[in-house]
Amino acid sequence: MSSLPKVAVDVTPESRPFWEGLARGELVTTWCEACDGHVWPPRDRCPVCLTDRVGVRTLSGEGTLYSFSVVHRGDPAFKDAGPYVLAYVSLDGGPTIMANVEGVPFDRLEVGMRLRLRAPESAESAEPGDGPVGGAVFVPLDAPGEGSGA
Amino acid sequence: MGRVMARIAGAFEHPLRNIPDRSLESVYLEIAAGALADAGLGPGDVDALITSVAPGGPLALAELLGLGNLRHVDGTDTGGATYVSSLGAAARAIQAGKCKVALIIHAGLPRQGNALPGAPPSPMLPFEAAHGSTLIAQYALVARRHMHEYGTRREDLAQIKVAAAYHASFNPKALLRNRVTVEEVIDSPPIAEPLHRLDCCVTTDGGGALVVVSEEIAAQLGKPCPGILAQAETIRHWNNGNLDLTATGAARSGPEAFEQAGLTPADIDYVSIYDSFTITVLTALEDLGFCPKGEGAKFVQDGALQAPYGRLPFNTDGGGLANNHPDRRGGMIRAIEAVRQLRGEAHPELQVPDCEFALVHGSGFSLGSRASASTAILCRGDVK
Repeated sequence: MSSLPKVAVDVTPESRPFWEGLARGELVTTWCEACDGHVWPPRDRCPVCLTDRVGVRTLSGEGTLYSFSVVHRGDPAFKDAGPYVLAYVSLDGGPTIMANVEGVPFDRLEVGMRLRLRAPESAESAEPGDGPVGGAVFVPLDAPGEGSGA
Repeated sequence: MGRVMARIAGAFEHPLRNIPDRSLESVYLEIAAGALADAGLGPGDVDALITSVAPGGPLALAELLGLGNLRHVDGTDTGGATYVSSLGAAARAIQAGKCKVALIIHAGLPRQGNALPGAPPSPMLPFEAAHGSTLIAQYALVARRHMHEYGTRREDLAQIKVAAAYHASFNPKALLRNRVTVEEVIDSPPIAEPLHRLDCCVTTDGGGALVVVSEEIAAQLGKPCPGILAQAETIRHWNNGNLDLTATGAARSGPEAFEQAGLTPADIDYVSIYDSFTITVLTALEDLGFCPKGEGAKFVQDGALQAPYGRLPFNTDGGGLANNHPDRRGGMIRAIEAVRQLRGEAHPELQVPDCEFALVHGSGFSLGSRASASTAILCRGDVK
């Protein structure tokens, strides 16, 4: 399974903690202190109560596969990735977010399967700077641990 | 039944699906001329312009089309639902006394490589683009979730394409005129599983226009003009990360439109449903109330969607799946085919007998992330 590309996106002050968290292997979302609930996608004001008391929270990085598609005719930026898996993952204690899934044969993918955020591929990628960002890539919860590669 | 808000005096679908060597301006002018000729009106009669993504917006389009008597202008863009919403916007402006003759118009030339930008990139785009999201893949996520929750199969979705292709086989102007089988849909190449090529709409050049008029003008035109009884709309989105992919905006716009019209799904003789993908139609049928939620797969069996004698004939021109999908926006051409059915001008093999009430439903952008929904209910010209 080929690795997924990094993509140039607009990083805002509100979304930077999310992208930087991913590079460290952490799932960081904005969090409303008043509602005690997630704010997704990242914003500095809660869309439920409109308070600006919004901070960040690091989630466990575990979740459940909500839906998935094996994409054959994909985004041009992903042309070298071969067929890849676009998904929604419902994070434990957090929002349902768009993501990719790796490390599982396509015919073993199943809505409801348990997943965890993949560990960062290298120390280098933990320095995101302002360049292209990697997305949220999930692997099966029981997949081999850190450092074993994809 | 509720009262008629306004009437549709003219409708025009550009006859071509591939238009090389023409400017978009030329195509807009041809479409406007076609719709106004169909209505028996001229540019001097038009006092309202409703458009969306025309080059230069409504300002430049008013000048291009020679409209000098405008009293109402609307440039709202909600993607493929836009032109269904435009019917309601025109009718309400007419009811409010702002105008009497509204031209609703759209054109595009995506096959010539000059697709117009729709809405500017949304603030949510980075969270999609970083994962290689495509429009088709987003709809595939809806289809997969529907399969998971309700047991829907690819074979069920294929029934929708089979009906659309059957209808297109009677339409000499349709881009794809070949009938297809369920097996051919299943065996077509995968694009974003579970959606394959034949689950997807075509992309065409062209466009269309509608002329909506007051009861007073309709009476002067001396021909039966289908009536606009109701129109309702909404938007659904990620909802702060609490998304429900199998429920669409039709679950709100549908019941609201039926309530306005004083009708129920059982009263509808024909539906035009924007069919960007097969799953788009299945979810709309459920959410509009033609069958219980989750039973769309059962509903579409046994030729239910095939005219003239299926339980609910749909998209008798072939729809976006086989006939025409100009600029990747479906609402306009769907509305025009509903007008044909209500006028008794559909293909004779596909004309729904005694077609009194039609429903038009459009959705815009993506059911897999954020989408508009708009439902209009129309009646035949002799219905008062």
